[in-house]
Amino acid sequence: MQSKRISQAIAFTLFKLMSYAVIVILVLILGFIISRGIGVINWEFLTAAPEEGMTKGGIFPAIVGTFYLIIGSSLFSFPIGIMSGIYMNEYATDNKLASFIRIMTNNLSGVPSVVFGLFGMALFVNTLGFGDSILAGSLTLGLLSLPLVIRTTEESLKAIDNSFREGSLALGATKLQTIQKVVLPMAFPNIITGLILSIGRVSGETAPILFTVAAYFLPKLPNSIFDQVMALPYHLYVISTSGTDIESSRAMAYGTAFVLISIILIINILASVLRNYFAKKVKMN
Amino acid sequence: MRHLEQEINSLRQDIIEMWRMTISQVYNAGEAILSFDKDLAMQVSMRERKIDAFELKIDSECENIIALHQPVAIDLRLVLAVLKINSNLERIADFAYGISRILLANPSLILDAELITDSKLNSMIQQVNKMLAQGLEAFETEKPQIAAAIFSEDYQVDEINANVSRKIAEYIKKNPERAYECLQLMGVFRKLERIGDHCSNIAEEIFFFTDAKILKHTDKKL
Amino acid sequence: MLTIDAKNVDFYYSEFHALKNINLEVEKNKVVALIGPSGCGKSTFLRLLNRMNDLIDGTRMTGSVLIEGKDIYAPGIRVDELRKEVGMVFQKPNPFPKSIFENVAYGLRVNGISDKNFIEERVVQSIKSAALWDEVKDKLNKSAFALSGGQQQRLCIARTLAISPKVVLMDEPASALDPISTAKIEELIYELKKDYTIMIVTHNMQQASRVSDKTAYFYLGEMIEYDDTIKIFTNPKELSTQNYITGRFG
Repeated sequence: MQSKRISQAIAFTLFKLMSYAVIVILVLILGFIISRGIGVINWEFLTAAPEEGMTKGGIFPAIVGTFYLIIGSSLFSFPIGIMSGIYMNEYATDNKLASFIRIMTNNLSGVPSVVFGLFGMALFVNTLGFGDSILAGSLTLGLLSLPLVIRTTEESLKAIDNSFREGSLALGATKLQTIQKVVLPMAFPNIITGLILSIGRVSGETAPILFTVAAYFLPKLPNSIFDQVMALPYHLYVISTSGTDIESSRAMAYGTAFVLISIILIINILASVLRNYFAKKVKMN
Repeated sequence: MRHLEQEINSLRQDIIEMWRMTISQVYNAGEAILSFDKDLAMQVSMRERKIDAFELKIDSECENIIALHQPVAIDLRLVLAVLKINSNLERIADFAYGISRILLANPSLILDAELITDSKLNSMIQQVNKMLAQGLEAFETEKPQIAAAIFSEDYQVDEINANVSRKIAEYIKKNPERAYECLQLMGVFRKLERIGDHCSNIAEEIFFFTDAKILKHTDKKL
Repeated sequence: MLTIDAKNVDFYYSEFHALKNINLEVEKNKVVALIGPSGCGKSTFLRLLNRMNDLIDGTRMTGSVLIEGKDIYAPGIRVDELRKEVGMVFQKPNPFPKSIFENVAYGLRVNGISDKNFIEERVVQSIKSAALWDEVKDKLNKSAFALSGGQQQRLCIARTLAISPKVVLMDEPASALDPISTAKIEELIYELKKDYTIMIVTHNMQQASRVSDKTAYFYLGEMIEYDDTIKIFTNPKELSTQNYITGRFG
């Protein structure tokens, strides 16, 4: 009896310590970035273009570029991903095509992002002739997030108890009506979470945009989807590795990192707020 | 073994026990009346209370099984049959007691041997004992064909009984001073006839239990 | 005309022979209970009647099922039309994440009815028929999830009644409910018999005996006995039936 209690106590303490350790690491990283970066954050930093070899000025074009890429990749990956997720879970639960798609998406999500970048360059930039452009970058990022979107959609739909589908079908509803009116509204909170998290992933990626869209230095905003843009992660990479004066742009780098982290943080918070909102809405309406 | 099966087995044992006691009461009462054995009559009289108590015990067992186990099909039929057989046995035991009381209440009762032979009291008693035993055997072996015999036995009992009034009336005419004894004897016959009827009822319940046939109030020719 | 007439029905899940030559006839406005041990095929049979088994891959059926004289497995039969005729209530209450009103209106809406007055009238009437009106009349716009399990199940019954089916199938409708809710459902089944033909799968023998007119006993994919409920529960013909209902089974 005694030894059982002791091992119980040890295990609990260990688990507790480990989870505290996670928090500590997270706080350390955030604290480090914030303390170094907060100094350069001001209105000019957020709204001006970089100047003097990226050692002065702001990061406005990079922020805008990142947003464009987020929107562009979402436009591409959400419809395709959600629809194929629906197809796989609702229509083709047990056929060979679906399991093939499933294996492929699993493989796809394991592919390193730099490979996506290379592929995007070969297909979109060169073969299709989009050049280094928002379009090519968005499509590449879209491809990257597609497995995630498909998986979350499928998982969210899978979580809906079959009894709801049967209940709807038993009332003479068609399959499409059932998906539209019962299944999707119920799965929506979870799908939306997945989508927003995929946005977070997209906004932080560097490798896929490296060869497809990102401009090293472009202190102006794009005019069309065939223009290049700057993007936060790439900008951060540039100014901390290959800027004209790395030492003097160090503070700028921390500032950029701070903005990037903040954007991702905001996106995550948004995800959980939306999730709760829709979860409540689904129950109440 | 399942709980309900245990309960039903013990109910079955109890009704068989009740049956044996009743059989022995009827047998002893018959012996007592045939041999004017007052000690035996006393013994029957003493056991009556035990039988009454046993009847109540079986009733409450049935009630408990129905309340707690909600038996269906053959289980339900057994419990219902036992419930009714039980009250029939109790009535039969009552008649045995009644016969013993006749003997005990009239210590000087002497019945004419000739009258007894003539009225076939002996064979009536034997017949009734046989019917009771057949009932028990039919129940224990769950063979309704044994119970079927009881109906024809009862027919014979009724026949003996039908002739008794005339025979006793003739005897009274010849021996008017013995009218009282004769009326007492009539009482004995009447009770034996009723025992026969209850045996028939029991046979019906055995049919209900084994074959779920409802024979009550119908022609018993099978 | 018979309301349900199943003839020589055989059913397979891939290789598994789940129903073996079932012949069962049900008259209008009767309640039929299907009983038998788990896996005996009673639920499978129930789900044949509104073609719910179609949803399962690799199933195969031979024989015919007529509902009011119409072969529901004939080519060209539209399954969604059939399911309006043959409603179903499930084991677990499964109201949609919508308001009480919308739950009941759902069946009407998906079947293309948009007349507001008609929908409202039908919803109210269905909730009343399901003996739920007094409990929900003040909160029709509240979520159905706020109701108790027993109320949810009656809501699901109301939802089924709203599309005015001819037959109502119930797959262990009270197995997840407390005794009082169960009693209410049973009471309701008795009332509904006046207007509908009902087939109910149940594991609760007392429930079968209380609510049904006829009982069918299934065992290992066969229908062993089908007779008046009173007959089944006092004097079944088959020993197997007797062993099951008296609990001597297995």
